[in-house]
Amino acid sequence: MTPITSLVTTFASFFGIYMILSVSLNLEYGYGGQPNFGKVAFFGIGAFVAGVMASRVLPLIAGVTVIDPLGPQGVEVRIAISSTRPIETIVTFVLALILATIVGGFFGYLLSYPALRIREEWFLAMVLLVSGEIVRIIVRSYPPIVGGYQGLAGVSNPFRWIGDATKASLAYAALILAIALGVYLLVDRSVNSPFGRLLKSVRDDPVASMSLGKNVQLVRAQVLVFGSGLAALAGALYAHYIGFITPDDFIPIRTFDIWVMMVLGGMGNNTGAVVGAAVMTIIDRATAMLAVECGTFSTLIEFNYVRYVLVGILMLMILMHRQKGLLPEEPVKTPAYEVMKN
Amino acid sequence: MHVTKSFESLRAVNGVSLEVKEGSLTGLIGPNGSGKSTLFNIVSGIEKADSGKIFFRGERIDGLSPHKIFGRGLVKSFQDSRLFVGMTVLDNVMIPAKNQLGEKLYNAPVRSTWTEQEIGLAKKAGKVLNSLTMKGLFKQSATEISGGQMKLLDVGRTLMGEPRMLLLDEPTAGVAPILAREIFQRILRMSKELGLTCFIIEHRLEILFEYADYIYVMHRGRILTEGNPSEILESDTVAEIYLGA
Repeated sequence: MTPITSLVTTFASFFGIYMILSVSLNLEYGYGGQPNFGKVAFFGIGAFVAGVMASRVLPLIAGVTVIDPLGPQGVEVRIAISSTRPIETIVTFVLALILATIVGGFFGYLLSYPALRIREEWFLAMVLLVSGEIVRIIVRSYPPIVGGYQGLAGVSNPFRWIGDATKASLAYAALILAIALGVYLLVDRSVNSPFGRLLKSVRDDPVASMSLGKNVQLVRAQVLVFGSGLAALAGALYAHYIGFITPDDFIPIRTFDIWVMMVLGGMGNNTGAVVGAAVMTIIDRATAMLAVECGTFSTLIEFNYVRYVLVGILMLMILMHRQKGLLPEEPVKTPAYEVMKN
Repeated sequence: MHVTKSFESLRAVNGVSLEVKEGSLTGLIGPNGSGKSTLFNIVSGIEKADSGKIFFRGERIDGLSPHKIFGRGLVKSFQDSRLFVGMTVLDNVMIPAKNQLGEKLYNAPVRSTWTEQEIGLAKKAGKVLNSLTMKGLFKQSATEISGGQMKLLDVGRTLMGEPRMLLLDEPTAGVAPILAREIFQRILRMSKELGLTCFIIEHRLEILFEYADYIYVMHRGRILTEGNPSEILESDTVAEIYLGA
């Protein structure tokens, strides 16, 4: 793979994944006012589901017996199947995406259930923040899920069977972008509707919303199920992109990265969430690449830390000069406005 | 109804029993802290009573959640006009409409399932805004209109919920006397045209007494006295609690 191709596929893949995460958090908080500080938990759940599917279900569908799905033999079997059997690979991949979304949505409801019964939404934020760490620690400490702290290798690119690494990477990057675009359109259509208006009413004043006939608890639960399911979908895509799942990849700082994307782009504006994801992708990938390059030449600057400094400065600038983000919130677009103009 | 509600050692509503006649404009007055707003919050389901029963059109509604009480036609407005600040004037009016198909998550992305209903509701919202002389402001943010317009909008939008009874908590608080009278005239007109029952907390007694059919006086969590406006005006008890005479 040429360096340019590698750059393009890396940027495109990360951008697509970040875009789904940013748009889903914008749905939950930007529109619905539900502070999901456990976003990484659902991202991780999606990746873990993809890991379980690749290590257990893929050999099963392919009819191959695996004695140790989490060990070296399992890795060899997974890679061999993904390299030679497209139907089984794609079926497992699609099932993984669907299951990850469902499981993510289910956990979104489960983890937020007690907190949704409290009127103060910041309890929900704390519950989800703690839940994120609990999920990671459980998966890290219990090897049968995805190998515990050692992680799980061999979660292949679903186009590995093409044979050409460049074509497979490009195809997967294109698929991630297509799914991200689909998610964007789905969320954008969902919020530019009476549902979006309902979400904003719950965000602005839940008590007033309740007294005007809205089932606030149900709306909160729905938006968290929807947003968590989408985050889990991003997690499954990420697992197949990275190829190696380790619970330590899903630490709380990732949640704050997603918050930065949303705040930076503009809360309550889906296009803003996409812009925020693009900016974060550039910072994230550029510093990661510089960290590798500079590591090679043994410079004194550790670019992995420069990333945090850059993000911090950017956030300060935004909060000082553009509190509403790069693209401010817009009214919900429904046909009602056309009727009123006439 | 007959209800009691305490906050720790404070008995905010203490065995209040009252009845609001259908189609009437009934006032609830009393000094600050007498439990009027708490009583309204209990009736609308925002607060739960410690004990007691509340009936609305012959059915018990105590214990129901606020959205279910709203569904039965009992709609409350707030003392401090709680408009949705991140939304436009039009969206604030559209929100209370019942059974909106597009509010269902599974319908929301499929526009064809709710567009027709939305257009119908928008026409209705246009009439409501027209009656409030605010149609031209439909695209404005709810934060960009005057305090008086906010009050009007807060009261007016309740009509979108097809109410049978309105609980209006100080509908004229913080507005100029001329506008306060206008708000009451609109309430009276709404009440007559739509056959609404209105139960109103109000501190501007001179305006309330002009329009109300019946008045309850509340003090320290209890109903102190009741009667038609002229009876209340002549009541020594009322003068005593207000003026300390």
